[in-house]
Amino acid sequence: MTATTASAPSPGGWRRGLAKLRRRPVASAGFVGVVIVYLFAPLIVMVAFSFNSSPRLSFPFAGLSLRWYEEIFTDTLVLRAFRRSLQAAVVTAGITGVLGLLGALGILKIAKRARGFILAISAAPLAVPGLLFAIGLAIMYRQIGIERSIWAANLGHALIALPFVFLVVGASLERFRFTLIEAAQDLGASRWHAFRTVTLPLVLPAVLGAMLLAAAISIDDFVIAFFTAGQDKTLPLIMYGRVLKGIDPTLNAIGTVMLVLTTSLAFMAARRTTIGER
Amino acid sequence: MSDVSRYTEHPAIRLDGVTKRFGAVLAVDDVTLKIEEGEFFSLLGPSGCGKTTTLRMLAGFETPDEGSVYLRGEDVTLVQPNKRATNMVFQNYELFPHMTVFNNVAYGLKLKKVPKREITERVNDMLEVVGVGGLGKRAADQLSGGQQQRVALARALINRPAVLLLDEPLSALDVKLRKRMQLELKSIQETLGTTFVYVTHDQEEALLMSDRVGIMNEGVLLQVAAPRTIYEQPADDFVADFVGTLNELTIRIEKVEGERGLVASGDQERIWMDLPGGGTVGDIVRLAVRPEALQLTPRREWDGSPDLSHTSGTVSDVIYLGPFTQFLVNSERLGRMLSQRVSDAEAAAIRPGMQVIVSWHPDTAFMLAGPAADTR
Repeated sequence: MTATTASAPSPGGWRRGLAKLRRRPVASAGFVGVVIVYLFAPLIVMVAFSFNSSPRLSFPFAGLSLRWYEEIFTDTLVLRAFRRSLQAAVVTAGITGVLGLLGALGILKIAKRARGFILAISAAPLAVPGLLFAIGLAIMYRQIGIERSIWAANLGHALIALPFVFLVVGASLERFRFTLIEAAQDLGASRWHAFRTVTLPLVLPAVLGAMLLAAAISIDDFVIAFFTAGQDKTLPLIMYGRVLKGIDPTLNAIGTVMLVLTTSLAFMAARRTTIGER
Repeated sequence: MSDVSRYTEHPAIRLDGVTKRFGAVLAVDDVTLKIEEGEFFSLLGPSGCGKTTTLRMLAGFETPDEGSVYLRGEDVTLVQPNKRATNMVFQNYELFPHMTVFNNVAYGLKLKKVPKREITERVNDMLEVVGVGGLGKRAADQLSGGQQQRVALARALINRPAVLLLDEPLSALDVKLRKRMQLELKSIQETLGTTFVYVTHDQEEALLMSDRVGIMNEGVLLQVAAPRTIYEQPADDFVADFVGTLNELTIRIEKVEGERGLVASGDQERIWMDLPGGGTVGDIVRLAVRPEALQLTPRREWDGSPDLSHTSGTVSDVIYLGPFTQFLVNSERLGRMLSQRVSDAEAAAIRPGMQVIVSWHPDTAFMLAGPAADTR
């Protein structure tokens, strides 16, 4: 007895060790692991097969290769679609950034009670299936005579991304200390100068973050483009076309490129919007 | 602005019948006030008394519904904040978080198109004056509370305002730093000679720093006077109670000798009071005495000085506050009384249950519910 207590590395002995073990959340960590594998398995499979040298989509791997990437980056159809998707992303970000900021600034001038109502209404489209917006847009475009094109799709993307931008910018302005503007005016600044030197630099990170989010939504979109883009096919439309002809290994490569693009946009957006807080 | 003599002709600030309503709430009620050039003036009152609204009307953030605001004789009632020669130190400092300390302080000078070299010089000088020299390159959101406070002061003072407005600038600091900043603010004000209008709800702070104090409650300016007058000759019950703890004694006059009244002349009881307007036997009066004016003497050591007002009682509680000790005394005639004194050996000798004589000099007591307003 005396010998064991003397040699024990920590006082308390095995009881303490057991208690520590019990406190360690082994089971919950395992469960979270299962969920994560389930969530990411399709993506992991897709990314893995995009580097497979064989066109057969089955294990075992024949070998590592970049041939599918080479193929898509020399395919003018894919490249053109890629450019269209990027264009749509930039235009969507531009439109929603300007409208989102103006809208969010405008709503601050409205009485508190009305503000909640307007925020709720503008967030409502988030709950409406994109398909309904897409069909509605297609019908509306036909009525007013807008041809199906990438520009028509751009407007649609701006439409579905705007609520996100509006909410993100609105939330950042909600935390904005308006006495800062008073401080600027007190020091001699006009309203415009105060906006330019104080308000804008402080809300800009949130606006940029929201714009990145809008770009990611645009790149990701299939439904709106399907109904409104016509022959100006974006990346998701090209992929859909290929899926119809059977699973093609280039799909994995295109998919992986899109995955990198949208997740990095979303990641940057998340960083921007949290750094913008104060 | 170049004519210096104009400054001396007019007070720095004149409020003339200024009234401000927010909906049905009367925030500021017919306030008339003059603040002299170079004065350290405090607006003191509980939260919601209208002191901050008054300050914001001086800055131009609020427009009075009635009345006028004059700055060095000029009517600025409708002038926008960016066109007024006032600058403000905000309660939460409101430093621009995306700028360096230097750019925060330089903000006003840049707007005035001051040459770059002069800006650099003046900003660095001002940072020295307020005690944060060398912090110019620091981001404004990386400062401690005390440093932010100093930078906010520098940012306002560098514009050489006719009047500096301070909205509870020390309320966010811890006690120790607050005490130090009170003295520093006072000394900066004396050095620069700028008129300060200081809003606070802390009566100690107002009494310590100000040349004159204006006390507000429910939108009304109750008394404007020097700190000593406010404390020793408060205009009414509210002022008396707000600027310090009071013992309120309700007393029936039993004898009148000229302008003095006497209550309960006895072996262990004798209370004198001034009756400037004369008085009648049988009148019920309310007398107030500050706790620090009350002396406690163990009953057996009482020598019976006839000139002191005194009454007998029993110590019920002793409250040790560090530098001070407070005593709760139950007096047979006057009820509960609070006495306060420096924590010395004599204070330590007084214990709960002890029979004591509570005494005070008649001059330290004042009548409540009297007029005696002192408005310059």
